[in-house]
Amino acid sequence: MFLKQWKGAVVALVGVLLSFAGIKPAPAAPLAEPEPTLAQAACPNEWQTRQRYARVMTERDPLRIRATPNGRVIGSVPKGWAVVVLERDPSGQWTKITSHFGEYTDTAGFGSAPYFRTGWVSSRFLRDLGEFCEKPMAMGVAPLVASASTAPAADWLALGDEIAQTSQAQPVLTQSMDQE
Amino acid sequence: MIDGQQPALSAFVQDRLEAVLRAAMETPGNRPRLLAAGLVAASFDGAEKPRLVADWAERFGQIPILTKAEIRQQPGQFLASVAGITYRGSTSGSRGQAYEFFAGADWNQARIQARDRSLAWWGISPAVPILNLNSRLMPGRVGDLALGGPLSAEMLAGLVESLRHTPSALRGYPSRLCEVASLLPQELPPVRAVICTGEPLFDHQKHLLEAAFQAPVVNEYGCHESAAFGMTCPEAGRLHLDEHRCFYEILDQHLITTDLWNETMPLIRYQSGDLVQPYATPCPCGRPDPTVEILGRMEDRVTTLHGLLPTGKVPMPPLPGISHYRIQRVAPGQVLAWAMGDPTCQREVSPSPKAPYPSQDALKTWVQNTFGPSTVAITWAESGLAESISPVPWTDDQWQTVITQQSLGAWLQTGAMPTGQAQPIAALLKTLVSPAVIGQPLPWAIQQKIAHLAAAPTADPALEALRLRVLLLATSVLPQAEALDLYRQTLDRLQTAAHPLPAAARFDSLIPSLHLPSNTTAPAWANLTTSKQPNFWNVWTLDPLNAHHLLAAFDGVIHRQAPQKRSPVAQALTPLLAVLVGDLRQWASEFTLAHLLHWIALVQGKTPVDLPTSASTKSLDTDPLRPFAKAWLTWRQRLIQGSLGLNCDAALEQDWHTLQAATPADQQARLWIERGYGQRVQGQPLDPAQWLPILDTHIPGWLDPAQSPPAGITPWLPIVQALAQPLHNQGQVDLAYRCLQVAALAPRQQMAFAALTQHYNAKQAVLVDLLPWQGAEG
Repeated sequence: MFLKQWKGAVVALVGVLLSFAGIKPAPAAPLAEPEPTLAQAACPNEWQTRQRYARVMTERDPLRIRATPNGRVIGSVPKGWAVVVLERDPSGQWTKITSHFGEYTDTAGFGSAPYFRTGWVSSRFLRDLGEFCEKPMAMGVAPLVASASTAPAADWLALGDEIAQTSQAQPVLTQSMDQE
Repeated sequence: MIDGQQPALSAFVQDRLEAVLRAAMETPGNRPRLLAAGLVAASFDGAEKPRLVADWAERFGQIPILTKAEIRQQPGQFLASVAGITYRGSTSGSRGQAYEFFAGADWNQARIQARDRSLAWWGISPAVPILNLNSRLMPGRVGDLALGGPLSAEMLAGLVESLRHTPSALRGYPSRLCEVASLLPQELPPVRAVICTGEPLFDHQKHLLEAAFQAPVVNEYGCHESAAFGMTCPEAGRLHLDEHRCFYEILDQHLITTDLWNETMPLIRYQSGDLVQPYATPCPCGRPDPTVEILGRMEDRVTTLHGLLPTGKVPMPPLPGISHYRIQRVAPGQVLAWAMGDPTCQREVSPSPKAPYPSQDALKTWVQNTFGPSTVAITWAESGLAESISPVPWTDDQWQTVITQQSLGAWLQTGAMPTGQAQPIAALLKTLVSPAVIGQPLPWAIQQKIAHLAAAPTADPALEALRLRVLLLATSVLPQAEALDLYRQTLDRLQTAAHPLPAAARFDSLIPSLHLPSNTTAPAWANLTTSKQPNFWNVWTLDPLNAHHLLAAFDGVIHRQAPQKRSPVAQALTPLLAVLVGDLRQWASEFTLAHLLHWIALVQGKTPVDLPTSASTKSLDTDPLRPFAKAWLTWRQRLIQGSLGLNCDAALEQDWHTLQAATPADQQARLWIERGYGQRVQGQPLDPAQWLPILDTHIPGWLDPAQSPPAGITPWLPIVQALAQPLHNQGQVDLAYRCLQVAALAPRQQMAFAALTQHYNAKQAVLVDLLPWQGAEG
């Protein structure tokens, strides 16, 4: 069966207008193409664009955002956030990031990331997540089956961790084998 | 039949159609349609059973077309039977639009034969593995593989390694295969064929794939729920529809199918939405099956300068300097293009920032010729592998602490790997719990990883214990013979370790008793019982590795053990995996070795050591929950005895009353679950009138087809499954369908692979027109 593509003229036009108005984020890679490059094609919904994401992997909150590679600090992004990768500097040590809403949020930030700005962060604190049409969710959270009405979505990873946590929360009755 | 011209039906097709129509006649979804077309005769007073009329074949073409949307509304209305179901499938579709279908053994056999028959044209025998690459496709045959996850150097290395070990045919979505093709290393081991499926195959893709893999490109078409299936022939390259599975009609380019083998959920004159163009002449290859050109989905048509066309009718030829490309028209005169430069034309893909791309002219010309004057915004893909941004590295201690004291999820979400001696241990553990490659039997590459780790002891006692624990977990996924060898070797290392081992490691040595012969695992239990009196009732803390090992062992035994070889109680309690997982969740906070012994008895029919039946300790008497655990285990042991034909009805009744008395007020759901299990083991039918209200009380909302069933439904699944038949007998087909729909627990490895690939390897649209059709037909 072939990929199904929804059509919706109104939504498409709104999406396109937003793109032209600069509300959509810029493309993910550094581009030499002189033509205006809006987005990569082929997301399931017409208002989406495919972008490269990375996760902020600092040991402690937050990761500083700078105006230029190694430049002045202009903001910060909390640990664990998925951010859009725009480009990297020639050394590869610095990566320009923005949010999945693009520079639109540069004045307001987010409730949980009030200082999020488009800018440069140290590459070593980012983990590449690949290209997505939507901001990717954390592993194990996303539904695992195509339909909401199918069999229980057995997220075995979450299940094993949940069982261990339940077991480890038990009271003083616990005994180890070495104590027998 | 093509647009009303119906050839004479062969005797085979007549026989099969008649059988399927007889089944369909019994379903509320199909019956009115057959009646309307005059295929069914029935007396007005209902005294006469409905029957097919003698000239049903002549009237067949008058049956109204059945669409996917109609089935989705009430799929249960098409369920003719709930007995003998051996295959469960899901249609493609966006979230919330798919539906499940069910079929029996004959259907599955026809499916396998059709596939093997077509593959044989290309010399792909069952001995030649098919490697599903960079897609969400699961392995279909024994020996097949699936390789997914991010398109990285690791994936390419895995591809090369696998091909080097066993020459294979590759299979995947064309757009995703093209991504791999653009990044292949210079030296690629031989590929038998490249099978494209799931998306339309365009000329430029075929050209690239043939050149990159140096192998013939095969186009495969399949519509899962309708059984429509076809493959191109090597001689003429035409796609042959397999007539042994399906009766095909083509009405105004719409493919209309009637599955010839599905008497469980018969779909008569089903319109899947795929468009095809039949060839007017027989195929020069001589094969008699009808041949068609696949045009694409009805809703994916695009408005071009040449009219409204299915995507398959829009030529997308190779363009100079471009490896492959995708197009999306977003507004009148506005086109987005995504293109990968041809790496053999470096001059064209990596110009100086201010230099134009010569190859963009070809792309723009193509757009003008297809859509008319347009502004084209081109995104050029980077012509190398996506450079991985390294996560923050972890120390060995950090990793060890997280996986034994926190969770595996907390580790895997970060993508971090330990950098010291723990690195190969972590790499294997990651492969086991979040595999980027799956197959049955376990893929050779993973077996190699296991063998390498088994041969590489570490000097650090803590890491050595972890190494042995991960190897013990690996026995759950290895083939039986290899698992036996690995277990013996690992247990020997455990028992001769110079340093005291953590209790968790010793517990891991007991878990394989679930799936290995008892004489193999007996030494681990003997070691436990020799010096001191073992207390099987002591509560154990399960660390994350223990918990995941238990789940892997449950899953391993269920998917390796033939159902007919299971113990009688296990055969009565299907799906058994739901029972085991539900038990573990129930008792996680007060887990004892007695629980493990019970599960071993459940799946193996016997235990490596005998569980004392009258265990009593001070802790049992003092803790309010312990009598519940004890009464539960005693009841379960009695159930097993009862299933073996031992006359213990009175004792079972007594144990049931003891369990009732010992069950805390907040655990009444468990009591009902056990009651249902008891009825199933004793062969008593479950009455929907009694059980549906109970399920509604304890699993509210489970019948809502718009919602995924809640996680708490897992232990109820054997009860839910048992209700399908009586509900169907009562004509409550929607409820019966819902029971079948939810009463399954997907395998661990497949679910982990599905979770990984949904982010990286989904189908893509290569040609998309977001404009509404103007003046379009249809």
